[in-house]
Amino acid sequence: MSVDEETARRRYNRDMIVGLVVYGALMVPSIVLIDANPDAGWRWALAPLPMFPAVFMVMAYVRYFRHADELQQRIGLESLAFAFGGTFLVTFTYGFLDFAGLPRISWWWVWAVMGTLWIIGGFLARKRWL
Amino acid sequence: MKRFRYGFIFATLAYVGLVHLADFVLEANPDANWRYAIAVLPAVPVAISVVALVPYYNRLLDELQQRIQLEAIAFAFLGALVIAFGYGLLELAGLPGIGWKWAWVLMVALWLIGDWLARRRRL
Repeated sequence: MSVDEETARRRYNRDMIVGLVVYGALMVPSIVLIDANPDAGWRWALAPLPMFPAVFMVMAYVRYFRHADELQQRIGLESLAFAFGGTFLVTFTYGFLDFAGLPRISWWWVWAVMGTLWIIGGFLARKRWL
Repeated sequence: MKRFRYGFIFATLAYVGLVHLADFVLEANPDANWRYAIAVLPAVPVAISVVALVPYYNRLLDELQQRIQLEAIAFAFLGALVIAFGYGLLELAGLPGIGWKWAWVLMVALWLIGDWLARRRRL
């Protein structure tokens, strides 16, 4: 790993930790306040606040990715492609089950599916290339 | 390429046929236990097509085209991740739940945009 890549990785780790801490700091009060004030007008402004650290973390990933070497980029892209195909199939299939009468699941779980498949894709791509 | 193209046409026809079949059978038997098994049938040819795309990408697309496709998919994935997360948060505040079928529609729409952006950048 070159000095440049090492710096990029350190920055990425730092940004992810900052993002996660801010996310937790916004998410918990946001849920508590919205639960306690389900009809307040300001809940629409409060609810999307945790989006900021989420976007910040995605941007940190993209920045890190741009500094990564050819192999790391390939692994990163393949893990995203795996997660993309997997999420497509899961949401597509559940769309039909929803139509058949299974309960409607919040989109909150869509990104949970995406994140889980991304981790699995990363593991598989690493196993293949490293 | 020819094999893939015919396979894709066959899968599309199978999908359309199975959607109509499932729709017809489910309307006639709304309370049957086996309705879930019938409902997922149209997903089978789609799943086969998605899996078949992988060797197609690896064998038939050159290095640059593969890179463009992977970048388009990465854009679509990260975009869909942020939007799904955002909508999930707004659902907490009271927006109505929307079916998961719109998630894959969103992903495909973002893929098309990502493809256009990656082509513009690399070609």
